[in-house]
Amino acid sequence: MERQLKNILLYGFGRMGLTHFAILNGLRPDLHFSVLETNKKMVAILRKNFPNVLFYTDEDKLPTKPYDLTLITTPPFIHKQLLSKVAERGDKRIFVEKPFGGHLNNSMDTILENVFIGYVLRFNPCVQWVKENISQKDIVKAKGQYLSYTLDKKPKGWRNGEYSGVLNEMGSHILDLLNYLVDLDGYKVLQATKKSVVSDVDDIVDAKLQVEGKEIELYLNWVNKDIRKPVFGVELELRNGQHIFIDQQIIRISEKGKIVKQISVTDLGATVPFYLRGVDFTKQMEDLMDSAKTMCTMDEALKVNQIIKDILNS
Amino acid sequence: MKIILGDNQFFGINHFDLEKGASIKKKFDSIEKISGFIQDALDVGMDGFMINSNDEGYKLISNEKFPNSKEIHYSIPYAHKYANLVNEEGMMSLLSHVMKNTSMISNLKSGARLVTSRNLKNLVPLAVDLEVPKQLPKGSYVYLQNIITDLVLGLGRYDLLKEFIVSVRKNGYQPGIVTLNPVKLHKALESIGENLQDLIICFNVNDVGFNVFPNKEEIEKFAKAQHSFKKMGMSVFASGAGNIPASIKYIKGLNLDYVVFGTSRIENVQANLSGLRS
Repeated sequence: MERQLKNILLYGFGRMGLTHFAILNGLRPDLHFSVLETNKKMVAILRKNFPNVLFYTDEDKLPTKPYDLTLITTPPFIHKQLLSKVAERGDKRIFVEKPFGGHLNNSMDTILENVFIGYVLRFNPCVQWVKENISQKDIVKAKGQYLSYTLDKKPKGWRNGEYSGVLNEMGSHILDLLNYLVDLDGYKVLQATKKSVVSDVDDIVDAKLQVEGKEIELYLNWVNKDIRKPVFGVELELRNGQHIFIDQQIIRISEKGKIVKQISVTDLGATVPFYLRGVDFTKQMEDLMDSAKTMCTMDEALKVNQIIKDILNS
Repeated sequence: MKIILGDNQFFGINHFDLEKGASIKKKFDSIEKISGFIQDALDVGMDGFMINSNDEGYKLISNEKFPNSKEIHYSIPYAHKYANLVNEEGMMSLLSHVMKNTSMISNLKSGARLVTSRNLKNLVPLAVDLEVPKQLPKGSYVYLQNIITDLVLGLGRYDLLKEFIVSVRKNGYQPGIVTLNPVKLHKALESIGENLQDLIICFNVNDVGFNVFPNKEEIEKFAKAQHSFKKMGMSVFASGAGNIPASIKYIKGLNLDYVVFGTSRIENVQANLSGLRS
């Protein structure tokens, strides 16, 4: 981990801000944290409970000196606006939680190389195995799916509006994975169906894309009552006829309908010095603090947002 | 070494095989079926069972009776419920939810202290009050779930762990803490200055090193050492990824006071029990 990244600023101290703070603090007790959180009542409590953290409620009161690392973990509708301010201040490295503003943020004038987006599923050991062992040019077909029972009643606020929906919130993860493993450059949306079941936006999405002769399928459902713990899955069909299935725990390689190889996370021996919410969350923060070579870049995240926009508009 | 039935199978959780987990969940689609399986497992010699404070677990403890000779290990909170609440209504909603739903007596004591001091440690007794059903027999174990334990470790607020232990005892139960960072937790507990003799630390340990953090070697060392608290091994069969006889041999070579394992078949309960007891 880069020792020079010491002064850290978090925008927002909700569930993700808290998670990243706890992981970073668990990995590196020598870091200095500042938090900008606009909820004054909450900050009054936080100040009492975390005396070593500097809390701000007003952005104008933040020091003008650039931070070593800034994490933007606010709701998506202010990602773009905050990124401009942070970049202008000259912060060394910037992390923006996915989906980087969602489909309404699909192009920016400048692509910054020090900006990384929090697509945490990339850090799953099974995904990493595929990335290292399967060449993109050998993939002829891919399918990504996400199933959960996230919504059982109509969500409130921005979570029931255009910045939300299963495609922005969860589909972005799967599209990032497909882009990471397959490369979706030059994609075309062939067909898409969207259904609202609980929320006023998309709860179930089924889409087909084409990328240079490759077929890409996407299925998302976050109102599936049969699912207790969210599951993602990616299926790949290779030029040699092999079929590869991956989820959080396992990689199954089949030929002519028979499993010929099975690799589990156990075989991959994934381990982290401090565990919270999943190996991938810690690995993401380790990479962010180090070379950031696995992190999703700004360019890649904008591509994902453009695909979401095209699916929603098709 | 006492042997406890785990609860993952009831809720479709299989950390190794997600499809298998989902299909097993269908077998336990009612409180009666869950209760029946637990009774069968206790009848064949299990020392007790573990259950989470999710909707089904809370109802099970509130409505079903189990033999007094058997131990109940109850884990709180049901994290998904609170995660959804925070996602939808923000962090502050968590405080108001806990205060609104706890008993008046608890609120008068800890709720008032929470409002005046703003110290989160005053939230802990309220959360224990809220999550533990009154019907849970006194003397049972009440555990803090790993998602909260490990968050607290990351935040560096070790005093919250002390408060949890004290609150559980005040309610007439014995404390337990589930963690995936047992070595770090051990260090944290050393700093809180609390008697830990009745505490159980529950952590992943298995011969293949599946979901064992920071690594198999350090966990093995921890599991073999003598401590003032009791130790419970979970994920001992690596969620089905490990070889059962080899796993049992490995577990028996450690210094554990408890083992918890989940299975959906009573034959497996018997076979594992006999292997662990032989």
